[in-house]
Amino acid sequence: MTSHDSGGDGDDDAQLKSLRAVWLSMPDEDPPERGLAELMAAARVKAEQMAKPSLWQRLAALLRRPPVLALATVLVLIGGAVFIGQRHSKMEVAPEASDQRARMNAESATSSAASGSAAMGPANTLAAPEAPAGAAESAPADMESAQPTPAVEAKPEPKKHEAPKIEAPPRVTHRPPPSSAGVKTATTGAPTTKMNDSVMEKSALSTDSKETKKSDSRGFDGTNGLIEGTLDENQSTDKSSPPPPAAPAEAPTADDRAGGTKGAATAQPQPEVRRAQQYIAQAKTAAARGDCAAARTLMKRVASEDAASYRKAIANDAALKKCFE
Amino acid sequence: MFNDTADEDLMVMYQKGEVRAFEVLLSRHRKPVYNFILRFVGDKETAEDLLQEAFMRVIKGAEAYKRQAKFTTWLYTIARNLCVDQTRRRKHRKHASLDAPMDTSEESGTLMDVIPGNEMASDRKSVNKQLHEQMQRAIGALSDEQREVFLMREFLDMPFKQIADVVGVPENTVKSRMRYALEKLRLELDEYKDLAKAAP
Repeated sequence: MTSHDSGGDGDDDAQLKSLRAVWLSMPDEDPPERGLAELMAAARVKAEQMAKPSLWQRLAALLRRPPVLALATVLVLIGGAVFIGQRHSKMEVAPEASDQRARMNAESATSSAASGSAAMGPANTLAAPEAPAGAAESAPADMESAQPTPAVEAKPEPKKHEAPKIEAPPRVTHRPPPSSAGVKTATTGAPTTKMNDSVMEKSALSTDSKETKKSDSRGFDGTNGLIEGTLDENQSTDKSSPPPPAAPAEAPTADDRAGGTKGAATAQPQPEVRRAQQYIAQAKTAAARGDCAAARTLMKRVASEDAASYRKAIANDAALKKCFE
Repeated sequence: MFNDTADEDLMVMYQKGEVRAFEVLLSRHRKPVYNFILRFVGDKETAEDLLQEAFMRVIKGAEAYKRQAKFTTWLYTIARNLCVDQTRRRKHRKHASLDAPMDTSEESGTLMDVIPGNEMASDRKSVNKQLHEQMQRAIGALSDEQREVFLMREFLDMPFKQIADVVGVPENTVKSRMRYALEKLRLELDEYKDLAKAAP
């Protein structure tokens, strides 16, 4: 009573006290049991629902937690970085390959110019176009007879297709030649005279023993393209010679032709020598890897291309030497 | 097991799927809520329906219940809202009230006479009955705002602060309403003050 009054009623007179006693004496009625079962059934259903949240609710609750969000963010960032990195490395591989070809061309050009024909001088380079014409026909024949590899078999095919391309210069000139850099380097006279082994090894190491043949064929084709490109350039200087059997579209642009005429004065490497150098490099890599079978196969080709290089390579490289012992 | 557990803890346990916790809550609050509703609306059937509805709403809203809120405040807010809605609806319809005569004749009794009381001595019983009738009539004569405050304060012994939370008005307003309610009751029951003094 007084507790009520202290709450703020301010009614502590006797009349209110007696009245309060009356209403407090009013009996409380018991609620009927009528809806109790329904209530409990509903409560049970709801309890089950609350106890077992659905899978997506649990998943959503889990994903909404800060550590999970942070982890997801980190994973996305790492994934993105890896993806971009892979794309970037793929994009870098192509220029590297063309650089390698260019270097090889330049080096083989300088080596051939230095090694052999100081006496022949420019005459040799001018005569070079004629040699590949014969070599292009004879070399595959030799190779086929020696080792019928897919690389060798693949070679005559471009001959048929590429011959008409030369007859259609406008179409050819529009294409950006990947080997043009190599040709240009060769013609402008690269200062290096030694084969860049590390570069060659790098490219060779990226292939396994099975891929050796593939890369071989790739290198062969590529080289062939380069050779024929240079051939084409040389042909532009020497119109009397018959059309080369294989001239990939990338080689003879207008610029290249201009460069070709310029470079005609400089030393052009013999195609066999270039091929031989490539084979040697690949054989060295194979030998270094311990794949003597591949090394021997490649060196056989070298022997058929350039016997001097073959002997020199075996003499100089310990790994190769070991394979032949 | 749960008899000493606070309402709020029981509600949290129910949220975790413990049905027994809800059962305890129901047994604890069913009767007071029912009597609050009954005194508010003055009709047993309606009170039963509203009681059922109030606890159904508790079940439905159990997921949203926060431990910080006082369970009784939440429960009586639901009950009070249901009562207010009911009385608003009733104002638009013609309903028989407890203190209205059942027949048009003057001798006929009221609905309160039909409601059975507790067993007592006949003379005391009659006095109490008379008082309770008059009290019920006086409470019914209060406005809805005054009645709800009076019922929560006097019958449920709620502090003014909690009543203010349930009703949704400032505490001073609740106190003011309470004062007016008591004043009105005093006037209504003035003629029964001697009878009230004689009552046990």
